[in-house]
Amino acid sequence: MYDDLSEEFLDYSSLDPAGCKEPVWRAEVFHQHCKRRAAAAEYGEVDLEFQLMVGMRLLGPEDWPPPRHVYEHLRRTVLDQIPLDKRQERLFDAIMAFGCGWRRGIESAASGWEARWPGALRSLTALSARSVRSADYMLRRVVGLGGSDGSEYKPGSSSEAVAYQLVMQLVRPVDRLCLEAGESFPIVARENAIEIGREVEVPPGGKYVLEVDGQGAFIEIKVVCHGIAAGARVVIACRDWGTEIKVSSAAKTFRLKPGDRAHLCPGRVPAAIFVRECTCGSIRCAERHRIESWNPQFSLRAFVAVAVKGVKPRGGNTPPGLVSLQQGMYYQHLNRGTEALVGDKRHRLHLRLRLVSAAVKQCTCGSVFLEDICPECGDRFDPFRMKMVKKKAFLILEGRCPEDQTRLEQLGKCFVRKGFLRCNDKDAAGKRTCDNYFELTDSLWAEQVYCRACGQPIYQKEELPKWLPTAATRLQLLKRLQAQRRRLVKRQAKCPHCGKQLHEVSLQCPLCCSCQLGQNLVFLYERKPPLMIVKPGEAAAGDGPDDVYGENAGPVDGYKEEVEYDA
Amino acid sequence: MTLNQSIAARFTNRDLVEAGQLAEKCRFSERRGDALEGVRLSIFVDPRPKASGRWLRVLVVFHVFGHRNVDWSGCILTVREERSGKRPVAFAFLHPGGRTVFERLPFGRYRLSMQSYGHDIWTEARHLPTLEQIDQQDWMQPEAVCRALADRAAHTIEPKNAGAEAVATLGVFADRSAEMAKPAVGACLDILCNPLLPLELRSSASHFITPEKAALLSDIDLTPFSLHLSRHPPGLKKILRSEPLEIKLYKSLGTLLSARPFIGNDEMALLEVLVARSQPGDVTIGPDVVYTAGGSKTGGRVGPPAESAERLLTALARSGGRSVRKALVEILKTQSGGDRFPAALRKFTP
Repeated sequence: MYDDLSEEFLDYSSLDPAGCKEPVWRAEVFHQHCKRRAAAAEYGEVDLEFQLMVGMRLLGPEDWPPPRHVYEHLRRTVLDQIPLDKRQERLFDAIMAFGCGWRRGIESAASGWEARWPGALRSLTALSARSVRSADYMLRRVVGLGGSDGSEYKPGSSSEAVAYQLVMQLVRPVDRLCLEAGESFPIVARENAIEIGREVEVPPGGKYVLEVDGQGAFIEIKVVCHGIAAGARVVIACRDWGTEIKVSSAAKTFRLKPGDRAHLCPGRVPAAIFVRECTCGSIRCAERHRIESWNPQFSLRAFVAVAVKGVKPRGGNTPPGLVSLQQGMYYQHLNRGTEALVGDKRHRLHLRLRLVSAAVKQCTCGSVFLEDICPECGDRFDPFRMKMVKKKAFLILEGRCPEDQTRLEQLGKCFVRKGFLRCNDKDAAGKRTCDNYFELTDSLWAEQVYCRACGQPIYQKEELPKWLPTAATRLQLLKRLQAQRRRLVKRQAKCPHCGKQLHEVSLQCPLCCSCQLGQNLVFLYERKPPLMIVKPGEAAAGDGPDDVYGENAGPVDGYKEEVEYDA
Repeated sequence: MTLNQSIAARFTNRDLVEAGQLAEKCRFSERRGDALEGVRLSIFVDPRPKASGRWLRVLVVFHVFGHRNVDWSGCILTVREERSGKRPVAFAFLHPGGRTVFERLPFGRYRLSMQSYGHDIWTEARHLPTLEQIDQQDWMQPEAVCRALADRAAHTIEPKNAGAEAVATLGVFADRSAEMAKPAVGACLDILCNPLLPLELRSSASHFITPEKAALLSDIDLTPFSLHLSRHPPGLKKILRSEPLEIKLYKSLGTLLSARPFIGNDEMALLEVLVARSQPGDVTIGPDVVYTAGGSKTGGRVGPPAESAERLLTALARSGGRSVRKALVEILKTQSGGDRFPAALRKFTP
């Protein structure tokens, strides 16, 4: 059978795909041939061997025929792995997955039929590109980072190139890090980045995941060595405040401030350390982001879609839809950085996508907004009437260099990290009633320092510097000022200017006036107003901002802008 | 030298060396793409027939393992016919992210290769990329493209019109935005000042150095051009033999110098070459023209508006070259127009 079929398909033109315009045209050709064969067959059924040969001819390398042992391996895999009732439906998927390395080990030096099959990779890339385009469509609506405009190969919308890179992460999930005994692998925490080795830089919000095998390794932090057991996973994450290193085996978390460095050392023998191509860092990465984990019960298209876009949460308190994007491989790609044409003037910017917690305003009418004015009722944000609430998962854009960040600022798409105080006022059942977030403004300090009656400072100039410099943060400073004022009130001290008795000024929520506030600052991202404000009637000159904000112009949603994205 | 050794000699980065080796192994046609893996990276070639007919659109992507940063912006991918292709059929710049697109290839069997800027790709290729292709590959650095076009014009022997084609392309770039126009005008100046190039080519390059374009080059260093001219006396003689070109050269350089607020001492060689080659009395300085025996040789006359000529004369005098000053004094003596500028030049007169 093998010999007959291999001779039958010797001429590739018998499978000529001319005329098939479907992106995954090979699937279409495969099904056409199977139908034709079934029509000619005695019982209307097409034999498995024929289907396998057609699939191999379409997806495999150009050398024909394939080695017998590869053919047998595929046949055995199909028979073993695909249930009988799903065999017709999943057969082409199985051949494609097998060609990409599913259920067979592929050595790095392999070539021809022993290596990954080019046609299979092309088909899988086409599947992945669909998911990338679908994710782009969502992103364009949510953050103004858009994607394909229909023309696939234009550099302006190169979904296929991104899709191929994601496919390679899927089919070749780890890369061996060559570290000899005595060599070390530096991890340097920088301001807003981590430098790993000489050639890798992890941006804020990004991760770098290592797997340690063999006889384990050590991580040296501030001259102290910590062991990493074989089989452990090391997740190096770049946070806003510095670097976090989590070692799964020891359940330990190490923190590095900007400027600190750590070293990964193999010990006495060369270490088997692998870099994960997927940087999601989740525990279930191996079962979601590796082709090896594909289960033929489900279609390959669904598996790839979940791997690229992430899974949908089942419910609970998590917001639906985009929160799952962070679990997909595409988010990691966008987090590392991408080029995008932003704004009406199509500025070419280098951007990063980040998932952060953000502060948004909530009007009394119930609408949630980012600007200063409620889009529903037109009221200006008033901290004494309206709330600031926390959005746990919020996608924002960041420029990769200062010029890009400035341009984003001009377009009104820039977010800044700020410290907020949280109101912890609770009812009898212990449930938070207010949950308002408010900013630590200068007026809060002024209240502690000035007399309420005459408005003059209650301290002498030489008094303040004694204990102010020891405060590390703005919150500490405020608390010290408050404690000092409390002491003065207890002593029944009077204002040195007007002579009236001082009163305690407690920190309280501007909305509910509760004094039950959180002990620490909560850092959230808040949208920064556009850099330049052009009043209506004034012409925006040259490279001015694309969005025009005026005092009487009403709210403008910068996110409605059409944005074209280039990965 | 083996193929791998020759590839290794082209690149210093190990990733680029491997990329070059993988690219050399790639074969594709309208029916088949290719995907190869190495130790450090992989390559993916995805050709797709265009809906219009017998043309291919080919996407090439490099994927580097382990998230390492590789700068691909200095590399060019070329496509050659698989069997008899010594000359590249097409070439494309790589995006800094490691991908590129060949927009229009006829059906056939091809192989790839990778080279870096400055290699002989520009002189070997049968066709320049079309403007449409260049627009599509908008990640290309304008400086690199224009430099390469100038190289092509300077070194291409065959086909005969390759140099003219390159200069014409530069002319199109010169009419574009300042980002593209500036290096294009610089490349035209480079061609114009190269005494070894054919006169027609240099003549056509001079057309693109207009006063508007010269303003874009007000901050470039003219020293290389100056040295280039002064180190090739035979070439200069050749220039001086050709009257129309001589005028064009002086006109273009005069335009450039007029646009400059100040002429540095390091650029003096350029002026000194221009002035010293002429006899006193033979030099006329116009509004945007410095050329020998202006009226008599050209058969015409340039009527200088006083401001711009004064600006040029002042700039020349302030620059401090002794021979320039002498030449200026001679000009003042011999030219009737000299009466108009004594106040500006009196303080510089030795």
